[in-house]
Amino acid sequence: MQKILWHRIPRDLRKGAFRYAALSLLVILSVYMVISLICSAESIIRGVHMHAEENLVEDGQFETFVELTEEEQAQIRENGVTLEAQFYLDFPAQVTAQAAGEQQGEKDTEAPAGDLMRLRVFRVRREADLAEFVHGAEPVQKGEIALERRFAEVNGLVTGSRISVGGTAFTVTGICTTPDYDNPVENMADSSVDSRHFGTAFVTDEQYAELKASGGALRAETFLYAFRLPEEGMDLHGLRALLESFPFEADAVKDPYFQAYRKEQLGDARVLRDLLESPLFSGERYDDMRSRLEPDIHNLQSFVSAEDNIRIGGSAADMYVNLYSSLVAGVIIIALFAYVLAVFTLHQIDDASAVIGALYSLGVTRRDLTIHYAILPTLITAASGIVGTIAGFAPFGAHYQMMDSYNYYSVPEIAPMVLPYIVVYGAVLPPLIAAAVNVLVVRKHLSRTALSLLRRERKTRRLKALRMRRLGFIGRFRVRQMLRETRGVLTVLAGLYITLMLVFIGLDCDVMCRHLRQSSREDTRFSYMYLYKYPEQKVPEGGEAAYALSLHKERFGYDLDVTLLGIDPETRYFDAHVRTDHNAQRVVSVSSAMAQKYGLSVGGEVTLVDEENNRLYAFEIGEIVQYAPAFYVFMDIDAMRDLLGAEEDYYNVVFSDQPLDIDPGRLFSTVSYSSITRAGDIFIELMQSMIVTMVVLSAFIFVVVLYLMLGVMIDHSAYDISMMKIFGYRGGEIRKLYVNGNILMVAAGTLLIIPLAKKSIDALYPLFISNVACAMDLSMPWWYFALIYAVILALCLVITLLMNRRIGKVSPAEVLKDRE
Amino acid sequence: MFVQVTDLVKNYGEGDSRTQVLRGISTGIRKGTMCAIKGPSGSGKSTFLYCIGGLETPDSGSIVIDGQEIAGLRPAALSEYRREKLGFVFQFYNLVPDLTIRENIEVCRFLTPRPLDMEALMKTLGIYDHRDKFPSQLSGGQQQRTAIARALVKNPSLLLCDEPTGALDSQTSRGILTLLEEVNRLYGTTILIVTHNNAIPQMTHRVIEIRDGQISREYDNEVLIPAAELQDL
Repeated sequence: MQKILWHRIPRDLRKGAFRYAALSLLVILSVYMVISLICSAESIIRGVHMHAEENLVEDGQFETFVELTEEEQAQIRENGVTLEAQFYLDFPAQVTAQAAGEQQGEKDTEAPAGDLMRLRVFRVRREADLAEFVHGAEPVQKGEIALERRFAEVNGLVTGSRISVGGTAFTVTGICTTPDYDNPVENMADSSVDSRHFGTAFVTDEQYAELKASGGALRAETFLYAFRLPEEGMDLHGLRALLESFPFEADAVKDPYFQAYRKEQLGDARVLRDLLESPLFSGERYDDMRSRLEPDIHNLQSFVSAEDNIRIGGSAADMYVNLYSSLVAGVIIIALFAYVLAVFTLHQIDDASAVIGALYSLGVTRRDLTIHYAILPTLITAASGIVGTIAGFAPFGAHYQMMDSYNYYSVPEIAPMVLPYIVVYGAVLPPLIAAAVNVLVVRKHLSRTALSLLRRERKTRRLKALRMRRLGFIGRFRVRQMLRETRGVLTVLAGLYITLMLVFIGLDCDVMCRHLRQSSREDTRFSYMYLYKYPEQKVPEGGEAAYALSLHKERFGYDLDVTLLGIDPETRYFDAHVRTDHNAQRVVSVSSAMAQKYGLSVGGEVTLVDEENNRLYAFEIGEIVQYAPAFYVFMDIDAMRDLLGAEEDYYNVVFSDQPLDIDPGRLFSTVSYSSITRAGDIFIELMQSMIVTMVVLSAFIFVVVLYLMLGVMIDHSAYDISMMKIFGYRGGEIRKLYVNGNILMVAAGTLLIIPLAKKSIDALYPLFISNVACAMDLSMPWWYFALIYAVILALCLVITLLMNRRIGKVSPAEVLKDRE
Repeated sequence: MFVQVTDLVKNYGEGDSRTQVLRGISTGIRKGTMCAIKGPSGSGKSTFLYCIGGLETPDSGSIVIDGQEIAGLRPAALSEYRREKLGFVFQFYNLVPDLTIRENIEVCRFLTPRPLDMEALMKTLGIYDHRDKFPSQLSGGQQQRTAIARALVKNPSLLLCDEPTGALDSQTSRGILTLLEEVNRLYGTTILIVTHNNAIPQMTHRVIEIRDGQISREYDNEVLIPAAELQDL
């Protein structure tokens, strides 16, 4: 029996060629999008990890005040640890000339006036975080330099270009990436990459020494060590304990700012300590007294494991969101299309009702027919799935999607990976879903009796006529028509829900970035924020002192930085009204960015982790302060000093509305107003293509689904429409009865679906950006919703007009078919 | 003549499979009369009816209804013609199953500025008590009464009935035919009834017999037998 029925399949395909082609195109497009996203995400995740391993990515890094001695380094290495000194200096840089004949680069190379281009210069590495060259090779002699890829690309630099670093001219010999600057942020506290103004560079040992001697660095040399732990034995805690156990001779620190700071810390005790330094006071007893007078400082300035280092694997971390959301979205979209195909099949079954009844009467089983009717949708989905999968793996698929990562992160060239599970997902899962959905739906539909099918009996939905009298005839007719086409309308609304979710993924991103940009501008009142390494005793004139402590708070598996900020109660730069009473250490103010991200509210509790000292801080939230650019927990500076056991005049941050004369060597970094506001601009720039893609793709899916389903509804009602034509109804009147009602239902459903889709995506959005430390204000102005609704109605209107042609094609002779 | 048909030709199919269904039919029907179109299956009687109703387009020939040529009209004009002048009654009623009896009739009431009184019509046709039921809740005879009410509510000048009693038992058939008789008498509606039943032509003013696409015989009944007295229905 199946063999005979097989002959009908090509005929059915020809009959519904347009519909099947349109739906096939949608499946291809969706599978293409999903596969390209999954493949790009997997390729980045696995590729970055693979390249990082090949390039000996560190297990962690630490900074010291003074260089470790040879003995100390030997002691570390004895434990099987690979240690490499990766000292660096930050220099101002300026592009002096492009390579001859080269016009590469994304933008013009001249930085805006006042925006300083900064290069972090390292020596060429040998044991950890090796450079992988995209173009050229590493420098081998003086005057040569290798640049990090993103910095080079954004500033139009290629091999052969000339660049001035700290006043020294260099020729670019290579463009490279390193695993420790995958996310090439200047400071660990930065929320976004700014490759236009910051990058890393590598020079020979000799050149590095010369640069260091030139004195052109923006700040003191940083003694950074990268390490790789052995498979067994020494672990992170062990290494840290070992580092903290090393004796520290504060006098050995050459950094004048450190010494000045140390003296300031000693204060009046310095006189006594100097006295104890004299030969008169030698011996263990006096050594002990001297050490007691030292401030509590050891050589370990910071210790960061690779896992906690936001610069390592940042590109891969971003991709998990894409990966999981694409996997889920793919299944939902394919299920929707499978259902649309099933609706087509049901329409065919209704058409062939009498034939099916006759076949039943002749002994053909329901199983035979179920399989027969499920074959075509399954084959179409299978073929479309294969084409979509191939397109997803093609250069315009995964590789194109990977460009987002290439254009933001400093990742090496990674080839898209064709993983078996992705092939199965794209080529096997769609037909499986289609087969399952079709068998379920068709089987139920074929479970009618032979007589019922022969008589073409239609299931009637009986709404009590009395209840609908007030509606008037046209209204009642439309309601009944809508009820008759509930399946189609629900499919349209399901399609609309899915497409609107795609729209809101894009628009949420858009509004979030715009809010961030707007709020950053409005909320940031300071022009400069100076982060001190060695604070001066006296706060620079014109500055406002604050005390910042970097802590962590977990969200969806990501540990994000939160700053506990002690501020002046009369601060000019924040709206916080910090407590100064006996509750000052217990009740805090929280920035709006943090409240949005963590879902905090007044009266609730916020807990912060000090991983370095293994402490947990719990506070009550007294107020939410409007401040979008960063996660801050504000408290009174004196209360914070007291809480953390700091000196009563201690500070490590100064805010100012004008540039202050502070020695760069004293500073960790300077955050300017423009760098904060630029973060929002960079986000928008990065996300623009994704936003547009999402909105266009979803509009396309909606139009096709609506068109196809309205077409099915009209075909479903062809007999009735034919009757209406026999009675003398005009095209417009028929449209009013058979199409407008459905459009009305779609229009009404849309009013519910828009907020539902928005709520759904808002609920999921924190997961999508769980690794991004920024405010998450997803509120949209009313006109966004009005515009979406208007666009949907406009699309409906266009499709309704298109439906006129289809209605025109329904012949009055349709009624005669039954008789004949 | 209210209906004037001249040299009407209708073919189905192409090439070797081409079948001539109507082979140059010419006839006329007076206004306000009842006419039976009789013939065996496949004779072309229904095709003739559908050509008059504008559902089938003739290949050649002329059809003039109430002075209006309809043979070459475009679909929109044909739609207007059906709207203004025609009522249809089918063998299988063709009611909209999702609409109640009242609503099925209302479907056509909206097509004319001067519809008949629906309540009165339903009472006349004996379906008033069932007005809020759905077609599937009614017997075949009641459904056909509804179909007649639907056709009549817009007060058409020409009522085309295709085997109106073909699916009904003799008792119910008699009732339906009596109803058509009353409609013709009360409203002066010209009624064409396609049938293969030999008894029905006895109640109509005129009889046209079609065989193999041609009129084999046509005549006027001098004595009409009331529908209620018809035998062998």
